[in-house]
Amino acid sequence: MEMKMSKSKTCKSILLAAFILGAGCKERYIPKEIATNYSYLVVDGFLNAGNDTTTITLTRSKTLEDKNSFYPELSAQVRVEEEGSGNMFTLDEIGNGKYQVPLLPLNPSRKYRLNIRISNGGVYQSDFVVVKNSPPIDSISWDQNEEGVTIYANTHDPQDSSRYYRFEYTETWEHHAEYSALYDYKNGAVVYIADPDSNHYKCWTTQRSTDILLASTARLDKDVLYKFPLRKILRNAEEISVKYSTIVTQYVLTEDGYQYWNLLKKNTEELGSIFGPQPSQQTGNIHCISNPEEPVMGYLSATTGLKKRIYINNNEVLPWQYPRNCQTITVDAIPDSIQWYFGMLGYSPIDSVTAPPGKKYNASQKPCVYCTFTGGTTTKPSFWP
Amino acid sequence: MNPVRKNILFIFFAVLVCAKGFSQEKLISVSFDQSTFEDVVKDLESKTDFHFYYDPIQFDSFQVSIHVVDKSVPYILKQIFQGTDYRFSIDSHDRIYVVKRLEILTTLPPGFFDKRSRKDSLAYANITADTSGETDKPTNTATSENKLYEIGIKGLQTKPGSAIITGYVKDSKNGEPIIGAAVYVENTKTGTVTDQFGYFTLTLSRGRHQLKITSVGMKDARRQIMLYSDGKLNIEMFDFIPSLKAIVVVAEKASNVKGVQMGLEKVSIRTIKQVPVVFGEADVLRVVLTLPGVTSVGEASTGFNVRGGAADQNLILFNDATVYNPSHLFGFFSAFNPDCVQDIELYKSSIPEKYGGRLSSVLDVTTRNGNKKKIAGTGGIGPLTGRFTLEGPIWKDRTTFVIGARTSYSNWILRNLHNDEFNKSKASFYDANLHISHEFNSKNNLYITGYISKDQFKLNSDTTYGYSNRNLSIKWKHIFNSKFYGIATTGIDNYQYDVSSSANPVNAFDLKFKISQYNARFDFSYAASAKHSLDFGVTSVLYKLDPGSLNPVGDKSLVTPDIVQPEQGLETAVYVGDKFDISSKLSINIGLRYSMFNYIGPHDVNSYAEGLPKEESNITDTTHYNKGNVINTYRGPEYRVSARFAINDVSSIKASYNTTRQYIHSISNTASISPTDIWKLSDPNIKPQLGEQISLGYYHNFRSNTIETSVEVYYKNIDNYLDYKSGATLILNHHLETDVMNTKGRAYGIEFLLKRTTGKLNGWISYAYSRTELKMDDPSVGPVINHGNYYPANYDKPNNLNVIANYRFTHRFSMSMNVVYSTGRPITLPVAVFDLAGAQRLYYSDRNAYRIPDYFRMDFSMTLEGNHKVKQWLHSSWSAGVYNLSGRKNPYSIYFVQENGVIHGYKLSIFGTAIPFITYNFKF
Repeated sequence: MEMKMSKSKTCKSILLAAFILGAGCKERYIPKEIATNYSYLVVDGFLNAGNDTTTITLTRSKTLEDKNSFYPELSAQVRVEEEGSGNMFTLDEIGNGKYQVPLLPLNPSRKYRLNIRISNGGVYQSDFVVVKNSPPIDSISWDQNEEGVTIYANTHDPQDSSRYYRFEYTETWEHHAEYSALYDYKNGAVVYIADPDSNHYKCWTTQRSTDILLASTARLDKDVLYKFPLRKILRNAEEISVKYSTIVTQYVLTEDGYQYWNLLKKNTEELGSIFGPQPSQQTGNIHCISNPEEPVMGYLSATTGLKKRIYINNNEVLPWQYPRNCQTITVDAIPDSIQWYFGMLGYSPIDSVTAPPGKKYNASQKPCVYCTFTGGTTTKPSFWP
Repeated sequence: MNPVRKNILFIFFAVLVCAKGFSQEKLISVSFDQSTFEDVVKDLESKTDFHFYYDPIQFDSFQVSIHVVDKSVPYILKQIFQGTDYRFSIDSHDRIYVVKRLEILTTLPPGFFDKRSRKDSLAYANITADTSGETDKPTNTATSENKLYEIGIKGLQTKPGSAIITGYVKDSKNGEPIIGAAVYVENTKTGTVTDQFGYFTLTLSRGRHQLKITSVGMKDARRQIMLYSDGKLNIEMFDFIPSLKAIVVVAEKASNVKGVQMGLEKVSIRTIKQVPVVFGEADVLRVVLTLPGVTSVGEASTGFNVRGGAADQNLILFNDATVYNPSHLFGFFSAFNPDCVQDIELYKSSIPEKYGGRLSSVLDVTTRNGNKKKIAGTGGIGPLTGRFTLEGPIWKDRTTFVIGARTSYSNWILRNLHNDEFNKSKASFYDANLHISHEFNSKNNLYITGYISKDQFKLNSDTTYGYSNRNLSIKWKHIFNSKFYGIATTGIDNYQYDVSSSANPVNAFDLKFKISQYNARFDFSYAASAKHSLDFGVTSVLYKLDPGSLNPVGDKSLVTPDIVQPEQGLETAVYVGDKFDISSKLSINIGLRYSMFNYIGPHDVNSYAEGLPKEESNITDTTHYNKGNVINTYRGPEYRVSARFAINDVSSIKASYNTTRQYIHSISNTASISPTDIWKLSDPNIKPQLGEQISLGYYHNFRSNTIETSVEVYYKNIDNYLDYKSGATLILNHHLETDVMNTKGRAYGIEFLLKRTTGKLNGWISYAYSRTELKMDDPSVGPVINHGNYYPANYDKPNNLNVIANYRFTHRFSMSMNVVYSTGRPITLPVAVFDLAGAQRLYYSDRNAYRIPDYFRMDFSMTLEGNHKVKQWLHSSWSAGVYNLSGRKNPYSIYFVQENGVIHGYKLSIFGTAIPFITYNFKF
């Protein structure tokens, strides 16, 4: 159970005075002082105690101003060490800073740690961590009210020993353009789309959870997590305009691991409310052996990442109307008009009508014809029914 | 000839010349604007052959504004004195006598015969000093200024040596005591200041003296006394109601130069009411924040920091009751109803030995005692709140009451806003005060104060927050004899908060916190001799804390009841202090306080492995202590020494050295006082905080004490200041010692103050440069902060400038302006971004390594009062103004959040625009 103030959404909701006078204010701001480049090693991933791949991603941190999104740490040696036996399991570099091993034979009664040697000779090591097996997710449920749909996780541990949970989800939704086009405008000419499935009408967008979703039942009598909110989808959002699916991964954490994630959450997600905590420096369980002063980002856990998927169809949440403002125009099938409307103004052809004095295309704005305009791909995911 | 007859003859003579006077018809032109009478006389004497005879003292507060062309002198004088008590007469030798209303005295001051031939002999004539032509006062009080009061038992001859006068200074209008009035003998350095009951004790040499009594907002009073032996003198002062003809505000306040006390800031409610505040309601704590050396963490907080102390290091007393949360509505209002407050005193460097228990300062808020003569009321209506206060006698001249209440109607406003977010939010408060004073007889007085406040709010979420202060104090004052009096005080103070949510039936909870303290104290004051006055006493506080209880709400709730074990502590202190006037130039105050704290069972106390951080994994043992067992004891002396050396009449140097101890701590990981802050007693694992301060000051007054200036420097050490560890859990923590750490603190600064107390333009300018730094370098306590170096405290704001200015255009119309500038407070900034678990995360800098942008604000207000007729049933005034005139978006905080996987920085301002307000106040 969390006792915190709801994160203020706008400056108006911050304070009563602001409510009444509309005076409170929240503005974008980046202080100039933060210029130094602090490049620290970031260790992302967990030791998978289930029958699945263990992937550890090594990257470097960057400045706030830096728009280049990714600095992978290449050519590192990454090994998992078993406490006591000294058994070592090597993770193979698969590129882009990712290091993998298909299956780690983790013994639940032993502890494990990660050893990393990077290309410049720096040596890093995590603390020994216990293996926490996760109970299965009971269900992923959802309900709907005026504001939209909320998706919840429900889980329980009959042994009452899990207590600290972290969730991640990867959601995918199908969404359609307003019009299903028979034609496309390519290289200055209107072409007929031969394969009706390739007309950028149906799209699938996939995205990973970004918030740190933490739950604790430590204060409850029983280790029962009931209706822990994972995701809120606002009413009439594109996500459930056709069909929506989410796959939820549940990790069980140690208390220390929970504290790390909780502080990381506080440091990045919960600051700024009036009674919000001060941000603070944090250290995880990974250390730089070669230079003890150097901080290392990330926290290593060993757990099973159990998953559960659900689907929500548009007809289950009706009325649900993704709002679009689409109108069609007609464009004479003559080069000048085609050039003007499709080339210059960015309209897209839909279909054609032939009526005196000649052939015309029905057309609309690009977002109404190309589903990819709001994101996603036209490739149907393999799991999609 | 006996003196009485001589006197009558003199009067007779005056009347006679009056009758014989005739006017000379020379025509002259004069033009004066608020000139002194002296100037007028000089001018008239230069233009005519007239000679004036008058007592300058009678005219010291009389100002003349007149413009005439070609008029006779009698005509001019008639114009000047019309509607006043002054009478003039002109004799055949062109001599003009100007006197006040004549009266006969029964005694003639000694020395009369020697001086009768001189002009200033008029000073001994039976003339009253009453400049308020429109007031209607009983003549018996009017005489008191020149009446000679005989004090003590008259011997045949006045013995050499000294004697003591005691008495009360009261407001003639309503009989309320006047606190902090200066009672002194002019031309010598002998004087005192009345205490919280308006009581004074003054040791003087036997013989004749002229006492002067001054207090801000009151007309100066004088008493001629003949001191034979110890005795009593009660003094009534008149409200200063300036006559419309001549504007004078006289307040000879020299106490900043003459008092031994240093770092004492005193503000009367009149001054407080002139300062513009955000919602138009006079606010005690807002004014405190403008004083040098006082800063606040942010806009919406009434927690304040004095000379680098934390917000919990201030002892806030409301008629001796400790107020734990001095704010309402997130700090937009302070807990004190301005209509019930008489004045405030803030001790920031030399804290009198009678106070203890907090490290940094004492803020003493005193309520009014209530009108002794008639039922009266005051009130006001502002944009968010309404208030009403009623006062009056219950039993004439014996018992008075003041009852005040305040409430917000913000909930009503929120309900009427057509916005879902607002409709779901709630915010309201109320408070009520009751103060009763009863006089059994001249030696025994009883005072009862009750206070209750409640706040409740909910901000567009399911969670409701509420908190409440409740206080009761009973004081009995007994005067043993003229040299010795004592006060016995007892009371209960209570603060509690409550957080609850029932939106999710499985998680529905109710979290409570409560602190109660039971006080008893005996304070005595003994005027040992002319040079020594002693204060001593004993005080005891029993603390009872319920540091948190979590309970399920409803049948479906799975919340496990979780109760952090209650704790008890007893703080006892004895003190003695001596104010010693070594010479007329040098005075010292030596105070010693010895305090002791017992942590009392029942309680389970953890022991931790020595040399290892206090963490759960290092608990070696848990010991159970039974009810009433003393678990451990901390004790130690606190020294309070201050000295004043008067260089001359208008300047002095003061120095002080203070040590303080604090046994109760508020632990917070937000920068301001928030309703969910935890208070924790010292226990075997949490040591008391120790403070030590040395300060030095220079004071200089200009223009007959109407302009005060001062410079003070200080250096302060704080030991065992509690700061939270990174990622600390504070609520419902059964072993709080594992989440907090002791730090060392140091603070130093220099403060400048320039203050003009009177005149059309009055106000003050204060500037302070101050630093506050903390240090945690002991790895056995936990991870060291900032590599064990000193780091700035959350409230470290080096430069602070405050300007408060009032300009009175007419009696009914005045304008005020205040300007606030300060360095931005320190923050911890993110220095690196990294990807973890699918999103960008932040790595933060060293603690408090950066600062938010500087703070600047300018407010403006004007007050229009109704007509100034003294006799009308309702006096009303309007005040209107603009808060944050320049509309500057002062950052309350800078913070960074991850939104859709990308880090965004935000600047949060609470008042991002100019806020106009209007308030209606009334009084009857």
